[in-house]
Amino acid sequence: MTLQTHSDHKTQRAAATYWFNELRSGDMNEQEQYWFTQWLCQTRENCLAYRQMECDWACFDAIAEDAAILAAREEDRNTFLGNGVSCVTLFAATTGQALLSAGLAGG
Amino acid sequence: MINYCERVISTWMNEYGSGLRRYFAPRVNNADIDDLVQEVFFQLHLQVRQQDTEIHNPQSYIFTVARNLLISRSRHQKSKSRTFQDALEYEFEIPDVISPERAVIGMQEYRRVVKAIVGLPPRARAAFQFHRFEDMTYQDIAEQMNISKESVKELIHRALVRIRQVMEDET
Repeated sequence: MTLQTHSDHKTQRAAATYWFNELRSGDMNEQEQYWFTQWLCQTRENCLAYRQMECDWACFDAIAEDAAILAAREEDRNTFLGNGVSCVTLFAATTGQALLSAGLAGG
Repeated sequence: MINYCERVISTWMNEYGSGLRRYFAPRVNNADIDDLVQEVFFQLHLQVRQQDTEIHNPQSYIFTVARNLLISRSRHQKSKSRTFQDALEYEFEIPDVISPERAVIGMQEYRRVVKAIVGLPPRARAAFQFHRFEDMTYQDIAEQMNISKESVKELIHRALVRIRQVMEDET
């Protein structure tokens, strides 16, 4: 009987993440798919670590519409996608400017 | 393994399916009952596959999953119905074998995952969210973020490791 140490666990987790990521990237060739299967069937712990990964991935569905996640998604879309200018930023900028000119005109 | 899962789940469906319907009936719209029952068995399926161990008290387990499902559902609909919230607090028909500690794990886990994702480093979070929630491929993300596909892989790897770490550390 072997003792499952903390570092074994970390290594399995890292390997599971590596393979999971490779698979999702669509970059795996036949040779790599073979290695992946070898790794997966090597020990029960490898298999469990990979299942945990799949389970985490499935669980993210449950939180996709959470208010905090929706806010983070919007923030990231605004920062990294499209033209980089969000409606909110644009609105704030124009309103700010309008207020500023109004303030200057009033003063 | 898969056959074992299917067999276990179908036995449970026969045994507890109608009980689950009765459990959901006073708490949700009639139209949603089938979906919820199906979702319970889907989650059980994931659990059985993942845990690779025998579940000794399926009844307690099944109703815990059902209850957690209602709780996470109520978060999404919290403004819709006060009576729905009240119904959640009302414990009738839930077998008393469920410990309160066990019943809130789903909720705690939910909060931990949300916290872990929101707290990721900005670029790792963006790459992860684009792939997981916005259905973008690694190639799409590389183009949009103006980085290589390898960098996208690294960012997503980092995100996945961090999320799991947060979940395990706080367990």
